[in-house]
Amino acid sequence: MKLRQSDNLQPVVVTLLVLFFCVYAGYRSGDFWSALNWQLLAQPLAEAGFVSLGMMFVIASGGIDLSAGAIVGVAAVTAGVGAHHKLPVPAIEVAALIAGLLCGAFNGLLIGVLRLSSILVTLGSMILFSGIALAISDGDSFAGFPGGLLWWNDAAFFGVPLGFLLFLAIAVVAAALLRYTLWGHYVIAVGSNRVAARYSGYPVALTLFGVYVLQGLLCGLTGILLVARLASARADMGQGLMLMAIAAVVLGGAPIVGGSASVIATLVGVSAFYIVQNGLLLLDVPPFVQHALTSVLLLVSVATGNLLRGKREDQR
Amino acid sequence: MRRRRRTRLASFTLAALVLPAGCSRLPRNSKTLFVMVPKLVGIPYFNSARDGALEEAGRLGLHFFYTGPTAADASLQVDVIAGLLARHPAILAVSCDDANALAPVLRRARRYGIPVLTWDADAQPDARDWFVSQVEDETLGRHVMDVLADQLGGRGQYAIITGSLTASNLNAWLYWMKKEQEEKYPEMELVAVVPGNDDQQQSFVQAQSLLQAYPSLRGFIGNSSAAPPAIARAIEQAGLSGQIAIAGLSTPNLMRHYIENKTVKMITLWDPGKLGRLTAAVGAMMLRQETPRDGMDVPGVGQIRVFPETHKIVMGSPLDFTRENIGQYRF
Repeated sequence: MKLRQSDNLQPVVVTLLVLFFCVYAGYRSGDFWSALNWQLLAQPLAEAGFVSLGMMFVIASGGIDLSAGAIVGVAAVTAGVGAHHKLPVPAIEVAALIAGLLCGAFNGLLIGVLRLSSILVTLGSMILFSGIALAISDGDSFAGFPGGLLWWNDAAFFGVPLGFLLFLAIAVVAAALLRYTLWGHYVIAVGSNRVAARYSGYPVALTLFGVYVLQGLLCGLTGILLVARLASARADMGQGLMLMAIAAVVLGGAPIVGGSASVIATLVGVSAFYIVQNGLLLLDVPPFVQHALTSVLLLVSVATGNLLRGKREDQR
Repeated sequence: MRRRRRTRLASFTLAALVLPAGCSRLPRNSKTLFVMVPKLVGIPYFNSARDGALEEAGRLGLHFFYTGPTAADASLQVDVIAGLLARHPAILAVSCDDANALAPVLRRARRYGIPVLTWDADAQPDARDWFVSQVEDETLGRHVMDVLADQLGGRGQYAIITGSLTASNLNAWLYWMKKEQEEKYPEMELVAVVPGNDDQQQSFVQAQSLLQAYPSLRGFIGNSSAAPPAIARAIEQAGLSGQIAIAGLSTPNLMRHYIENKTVKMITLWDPGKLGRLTAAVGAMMLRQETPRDGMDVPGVGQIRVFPETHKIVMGSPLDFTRENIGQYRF
């Protein structure tokens, strides 16, 4: 009984592990299953989710984006400047999105058109973007955002935070992009074998450009939601999100070398991180142990997923 | 076969040992649960505060829980606090990494009926019930200047190395230092105020260039915890130990070497352990629906000052670390 090579069972493994953990956490802590806990959990999860979706496309295309967190910072600080100049709320939001998009386009140009290595380009642009954000904000935090922008934080539909619903909607769009558009097909092709894609006449440069622009846009969106939740903007706001997003994509079972992507798997990956971290917090687990246990989850899942797939790294 | 059975037996035994330990239900102690959140966990300053609070909370019959982000990052701290809200703690005490960024989540906590204290670093005033402050800006600033003037005999040139020029708490201390000098020590002269950006290397370079630029400089104030050790190192390297006085704010761990080798006579800060104690004590008062009173005596802390209109509680006087007492402090 041999499993098919292409089957990615890792999301299933992760889901089972997380469900098991939820039962355990729910048994030990009376607060774990409270509606309030899940409401509060959904907001940061949505923010990390946007960056993870963008990162999923980047990784599927055979790249990596180390600058994602810095782009979130640029978008947040841009929103801060907008609010400082008393711009109307939609203008602030559009400005933050455009800032994210421009950062993404910068990466996309260098990686897609000039064919530079994504890890080098984004390592450089990470420093560049956070430098820009720091320069604009002078290391300080912006406050005094208009109520219309902060509305996102408290807005909920039948108790579900609106930011989370927006995340689900965008996840559906991302799945459709991946599955039903030519661009989605190109992304996978470029990620599987860039040279072959180029010889097959695929628009490699344009495809990659699109991938990074989309990532920039999603980071901009994250910036807006973060600003709304924290009612302030700082240059270092997205700091933790970049590694989190990469880990979430990998936890979902996507190969880090590219050529494959699944929105469901990414959702599973990012949710697993937040649910487990939240559960550990409610179980009185000390912060440093939380980190260790979360990384154990990552390693166990990746190992199990690979074993089930019947392939190890050295057999490829 | 035998071997497999033995492994199975071993794993069952292991499971039998581990399961009871990990499966007991946590008590829902939200009526007495005192949650303390530092800017970040794992640094000596906050560990010291935790130990103080733990002791006091135990004495007052509170369930003490201490957790926080592993890096000083406001958004991580907000996530931790949001996660804690589901437990509905009886008291939430937070040292805010960013006064603005923490305000929404603390406001939300208050909306859920959780009393909120800030300690060590405040949030926006409407986001908390009380702020437990270590020492008043005026007292601290004037005291540091007195320490320097005492060593200089009230005359001579001095320079100040601060953290960043935009940090509001540092600027408030700076203001009172200058004011104290103008009022009480007219024969002293401030030659420069330069930023060291809370970085030892930058502060060191600043101290070196100040020593070169002002040959008759007789004293330094380091107005951010990274500055005094950097100044001391610069003075030591220039071979001027004992000839130039140093005062300022820093921690015993950073200054231990220079105080023990007499480059620095004393350095000022406050006792974070006491601050933790006071925070727990104020938390217990809030649980008993008591209002802190000005001048009341808190055991292990001393007399506190209370400002009802700004909802601020001040622990009291600054603490000087000298060769005699520095051995008692580990932060």
